Amino acid sequence: MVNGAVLKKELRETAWKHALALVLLSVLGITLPFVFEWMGKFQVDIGGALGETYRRQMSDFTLYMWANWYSKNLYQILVIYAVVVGMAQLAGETGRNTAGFLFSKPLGRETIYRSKFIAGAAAMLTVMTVATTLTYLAALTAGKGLPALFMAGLVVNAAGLLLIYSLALMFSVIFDDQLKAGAAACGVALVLSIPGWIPGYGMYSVYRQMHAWPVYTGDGFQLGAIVIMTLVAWIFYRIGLSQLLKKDF
Amino acid sequence: MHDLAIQTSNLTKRYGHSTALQGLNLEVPRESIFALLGPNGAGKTSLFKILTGLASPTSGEARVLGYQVSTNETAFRAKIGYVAENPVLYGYYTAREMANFCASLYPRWNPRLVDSAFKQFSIPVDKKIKEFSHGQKSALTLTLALGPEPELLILDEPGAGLDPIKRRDYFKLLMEQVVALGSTVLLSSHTLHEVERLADRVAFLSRGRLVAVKDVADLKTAEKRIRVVFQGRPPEDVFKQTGIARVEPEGSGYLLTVTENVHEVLEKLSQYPHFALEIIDLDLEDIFIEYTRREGADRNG
Repeated sequence: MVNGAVLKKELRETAWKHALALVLLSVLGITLPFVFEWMGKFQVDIGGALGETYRRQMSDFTLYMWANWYSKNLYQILVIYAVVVGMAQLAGETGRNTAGFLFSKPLGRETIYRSKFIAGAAAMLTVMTVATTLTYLAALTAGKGLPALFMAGLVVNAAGLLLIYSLALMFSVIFDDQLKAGAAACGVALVLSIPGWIPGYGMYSVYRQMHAWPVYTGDGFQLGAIVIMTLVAWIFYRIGLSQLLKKDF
Repeated sequence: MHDLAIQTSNLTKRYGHSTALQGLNLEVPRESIFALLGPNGAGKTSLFKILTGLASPTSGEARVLGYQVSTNETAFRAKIGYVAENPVLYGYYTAREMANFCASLYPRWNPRLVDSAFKQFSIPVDKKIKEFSHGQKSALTLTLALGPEPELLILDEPGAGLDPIKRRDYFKLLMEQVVALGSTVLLSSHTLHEVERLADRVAFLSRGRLVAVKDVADLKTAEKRIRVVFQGRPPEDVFKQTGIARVEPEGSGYLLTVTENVHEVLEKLSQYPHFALEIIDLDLEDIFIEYTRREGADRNG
C-alpha cells in the first residue's frame, strides 16, 4: 500500500532535485542535434581509433545521438541523480530529526518505505522520459531524422536507474547520515563498473548495459539484462526494508 | 476493555554495552495522568520510544491500549498522540499544511480542536514552520498531538520553549481534553511543580530501573522531613526506627527524611527532651531529589 500524503510530501521535498535534473538533461539533450554540424568540423583534427570512432559518429546522425545520449550523458547523470535522490530518502529524515515524528504516526514502516521509493522512482522515470522525448523532438525540429526506436533505449536505462536508486535507498536506511549513505552507494556503484573495464566482460557492467547498444544495432531489447537489473534492484529494496523494520529511531 | 493503558513486563533495552531500561515492570491505569520522573539518562525517552513503536525492546514486552507494541503495528499508534523531547517538524510546510498532513494520516481528527488551539496559542497558520520561534514550534507540536483525539498522550518534556502563560494555557487545554475524552497521559517533565499539579501518579526511574510508583497525594502525605534539636546528646538508637531514610546533622540539630510511619517517628522523638521538633512538608521536587539521592546511595553501597 502507498500513502498519498507521504507521496506528496516526498515529491514536494525533492521537487528541486527533479527540476534540476530535468533542466540539466533537457539542455544537454536538446543541444545535441543542434551542435551536430558544428561538432563535425573537428573530425579532421583527431587521429587513431578515437578519431575513427568520432568520424563514424559524425557521419551517422542516429549513431551520433545514441552515442552522446545513451552512451554518455543520460546514464552518467542518471547514476548521480539516483544516488542523490536515494541517499536522502531515509537518512534525510533521520539527519534532520523528523524520523521520530513520521514513524510515530499510524503508518506501517513498509508503507512509508514503499511510498518514498515510489515517489522517487516515479519522478526520476518521468524526468528521464521527458528529457529523452525532448531530445527526440529536438532532433526532429533540427531537421534530422531520428527513428522512433531511439525511445526504446529508455527501458534498460530505467532498470539501471532503479538498481542504483534502490542501492542508495538501502544505504539511506543503514546510515543516519545521508552523505555517508551517498558515499557508500557511490562506492558500490563504482564496483559495479569494474566489469566494464575488463575486455570481454563489458556485458556484466550495469553502465555498459545502459548504453543500450543492442537496441541500436537491432540485436534485441536486452530483456535478460533488464530482468537481472530489476531483480538486483528488488533485492536491494528488500534488504533496505528489512533493515528499516529492525531500526530504532 | 483493558483497564491498563500501558503495561510493560521485564522490559529491557540495550544500546550496545549501555542499558537504557532494565527489567521494567510498569502499569499505567487508563484515564490517569502518570508522570515519569528521573534524572537525565534514567531511560524515560527510551521507554517512550518503545511505547510509540519507534524502537524495539531488547527483551520483555510492552502493551499499549491492549495492543502488543511493535515497530510495524499501526493500530495502537492511531490512538496515541506523541510529543518527542525535541520535536522537529517539516520546515517547508505551513502550520495549516502540517495539520492537513497529520489529519490525513489518522482515522480520526478533530479540526475544530486544532483550529481553536491555533487561535489560543496565536500560531500563524500560513507561515512556514522554519520561520517559527522555538515556542511556536513547541505549541504547534503539542496542538498536533491533540488532533487525533488520542486515547493516550505521551509527552516527553512537553512545552519546552513555551512561555509560562502559554504553558499554563496548554496544560489547561490538555486537561480539558483529557477530561472530555477520558484520555490517559504519560508524561515526563523536569518542571516538577507542574507534574505535582497535573499528575495523579508518579514513577521514579533511575538508570533504567523502576525505583518507586506512588500516588502523588500519598507521596506528599507519607514523605516528610522532621527537624529536631535535642537538649543534650540523644541516645544512640534514637534514629534506628522504621521509616527514617536519612539523618543529616543541621547546626545543633538533625534533619531526618522520613518515608513512612511519620507519626510513630515523631512520637518516639518527642519522648526525649528537645528544644525544637517540627514536621516539614516536602514538595515533589524535594521528594524527587530525595529518591534520586537515595538510589545513588544504594548503588554506591
